[in-house]
Amino acid sequence: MTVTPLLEAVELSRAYGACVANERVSLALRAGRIHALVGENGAGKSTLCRMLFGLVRPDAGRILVDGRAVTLRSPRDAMAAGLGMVHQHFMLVDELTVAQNVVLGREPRRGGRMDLARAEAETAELAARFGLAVDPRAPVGGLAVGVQQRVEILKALHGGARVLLLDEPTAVLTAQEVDALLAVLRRLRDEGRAILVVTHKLPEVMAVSDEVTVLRQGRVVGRLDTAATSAVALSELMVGRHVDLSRRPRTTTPAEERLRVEDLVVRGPDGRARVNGVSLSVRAGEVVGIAGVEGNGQAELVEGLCGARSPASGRVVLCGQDVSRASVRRRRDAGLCHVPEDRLAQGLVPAMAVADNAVLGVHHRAPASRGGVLRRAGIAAAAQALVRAYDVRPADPALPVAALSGGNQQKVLVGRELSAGPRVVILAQPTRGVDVGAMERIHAAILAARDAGLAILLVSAELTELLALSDVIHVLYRGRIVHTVDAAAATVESLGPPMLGAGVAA
Amino acid sequence: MLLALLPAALAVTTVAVLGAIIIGALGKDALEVGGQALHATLLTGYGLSQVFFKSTPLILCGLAVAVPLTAGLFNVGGEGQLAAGGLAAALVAGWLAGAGAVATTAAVMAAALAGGAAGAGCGVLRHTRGVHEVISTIMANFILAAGCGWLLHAFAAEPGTSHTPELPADVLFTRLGSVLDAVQGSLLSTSLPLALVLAALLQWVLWRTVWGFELRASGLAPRAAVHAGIRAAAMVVGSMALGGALAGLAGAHFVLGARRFFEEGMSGGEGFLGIAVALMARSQPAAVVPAALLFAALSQAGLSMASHVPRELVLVLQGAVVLVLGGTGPLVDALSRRRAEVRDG
Repeated sequence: MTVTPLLEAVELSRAYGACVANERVSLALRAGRIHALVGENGAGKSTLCRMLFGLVRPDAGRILVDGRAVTLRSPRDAMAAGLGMVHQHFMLVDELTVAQNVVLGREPRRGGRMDLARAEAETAELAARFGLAVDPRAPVGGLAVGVQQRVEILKALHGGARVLLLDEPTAVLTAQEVDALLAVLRRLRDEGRAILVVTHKLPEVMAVSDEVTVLRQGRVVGRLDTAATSAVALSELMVGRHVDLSRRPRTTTPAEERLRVEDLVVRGPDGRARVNGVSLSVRAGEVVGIAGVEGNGQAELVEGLCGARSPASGRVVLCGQDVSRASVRRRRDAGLCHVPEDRLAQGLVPAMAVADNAVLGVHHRAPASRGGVLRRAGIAAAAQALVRAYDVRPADPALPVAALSGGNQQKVLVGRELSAGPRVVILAQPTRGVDVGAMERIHAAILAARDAGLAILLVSAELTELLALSDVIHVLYRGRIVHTVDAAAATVESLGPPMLGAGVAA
Repeated sequence: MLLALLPAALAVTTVAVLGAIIIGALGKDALEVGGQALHATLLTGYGLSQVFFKSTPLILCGLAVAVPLTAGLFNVGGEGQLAAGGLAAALVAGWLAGAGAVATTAAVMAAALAGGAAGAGCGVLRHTRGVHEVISTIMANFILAAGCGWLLHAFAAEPGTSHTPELPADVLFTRLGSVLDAVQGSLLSTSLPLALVLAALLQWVLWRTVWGFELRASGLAPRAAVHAGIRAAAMVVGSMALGGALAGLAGAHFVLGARRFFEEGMSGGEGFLGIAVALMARSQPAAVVPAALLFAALSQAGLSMASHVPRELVLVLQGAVVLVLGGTGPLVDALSRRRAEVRDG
């Protein structure tokens, strides 16, 4: 390949204090190619992206645009050099229309006033050219996430971007939206743009990219042609070892019933029943999975079971004891632990140290405290044990949880709940947004807990995860269990229709 | 750690520079006036004892803000809680006149209870009805000021005056001068050690006890706290009650340690100044003490300059301190975040 790359990073390095985020990272983006940048959480992907877009200054190394060295002091410089970035968290003004957002900062003018008609025409033309269906006059705030992302892409294109950097573009999209995005990226590539997609989702990498750069601990560990590699090979490069996420069915027979739910009804904040008569049972040594499209009552079911929301009717029986009206703490003390779905809002206190988070929820009893007074030594020992057992990195219990990557945060959360000595564990989206290495460790911990005789209720939006871990799968649709199947006999295809309500009277 | 001192250092610098500019603009020699004020405030026994005396209610009012702030609640009702506490202290001490230390103790407890009830009420409104505590405590300030004024004039005032009857010496806080020769003749009383001990105790409670841990967790991440089995009601109502009780104690200080009676408006805004103190201390009970001393020194220095400059100067400088704190708080947060920033992938 002798064509001059549109954008090239040459041996870029960047450290945050003692932490080396990027070390001599080189990368070349060429016209008409989609380049995937993959790596675990914390591997340095975002740092590289930020340097390329002028958000962070490299400590060493050069950035070349069309073969010429440039200094990017700010995103403005980067845009002037023909770069465009689609951030993971959109930079849009909700109150403005699509067209107004697209031209923001370079509004077409007529007689000192913004020429809205021209802005809309330009937006419509760009949208048609790249197959990005949007209504230029729609207010951005009311659009679906996938459409908002299209607006972000249009914004970059309107700024004249020849190189597009996309940071975790699929993290917030539904499956259909992902397909649409990949189609857009292919069209942009065919138009001769250079595209960098930062992600840790390997199926998408395999589906859309032409070449892949793998980062591990801030260094490039692989530069490959997508056609010449596989998702398995990439995941091993990312993690640095063999990764196994395959199904491991239980070897023991489930023992006594630990959790029984009878006709549970849980209302949402608006008073409507979100869980509408759910009954289920979880025995010691088994994993019961709850499948369903998000928003069908999963969150309320979990909150009703763990006690964060009191059920309107029905019973929750924990090891033979009715805890339907019990507080979260009483249920915890009785052996019901749970991993909430939103780790940063519900599971952890991001501003507190890893050590404090490691005992949150069991802080009121030994070893974390005695007689209402915290025991520093007990907390430190618990934190050390957790950090070691779950390979939390960096292994410093004094760091605030917010300073950890998502995968490591989740290890702290799952580890804490599993080591609290539970008899029943409810796991909601235990691997959401975590990389494959952390996912493998969390899956292993869940299966080990199952084999140790815990009763586990697993709520997940990832069917592959449910199929790999569960023994029985219930499908939740509009607050009811509409389908129950032995996980060994289930497939992704067979679960799809009941999840969408097929065969259910509305 | 040093970063935490940045706002205080900036505030002191601002006061010095701004004060010098204003004094200079008034046609005085800023160095001379300022030097004299500094000397009179910090290098004379009288000046120092006045600083500590004035800091006492500020420490209590600062703690009254700092404790709820730890739980994520902004108690701006110190002024009203202080009034409720002051009236309760005056009434109880009056009834028990002649009972000595028993009366003092009962009056202090009554003050804490009255202030605590006022704070707890706003906490209950917050938890059960979702009424924002800033709104409810501001409104409570009006209600309590008017209510205490009405109670005073209707039932409790000494005829012909606008205050309660003067309390006998035996029910008042003991003057420190009577046991400590060094501060003989000063206004300092047992309310100062009480405030200092409370600051130290609360520092311990917030950072070393289960309750303090739960308070901090609910302040930083309320939903995570609920999922961890921490009862939000106990945190919201408890911290507001404790905050109110501390402000109530400041009321007891005015009645039993300064005025010898309760009158309307006796605090002169200490309840509000407590907010600035707590912000400067970044809600750390131990740091409330030096912050309160700084504000007290500022006020005392202003008094000692009264013959040279208008007394409003102190109010201007106090306002400047609050503005500097407001401006530097986010700055410090940003700086410490940057330090904590680790590779984020």
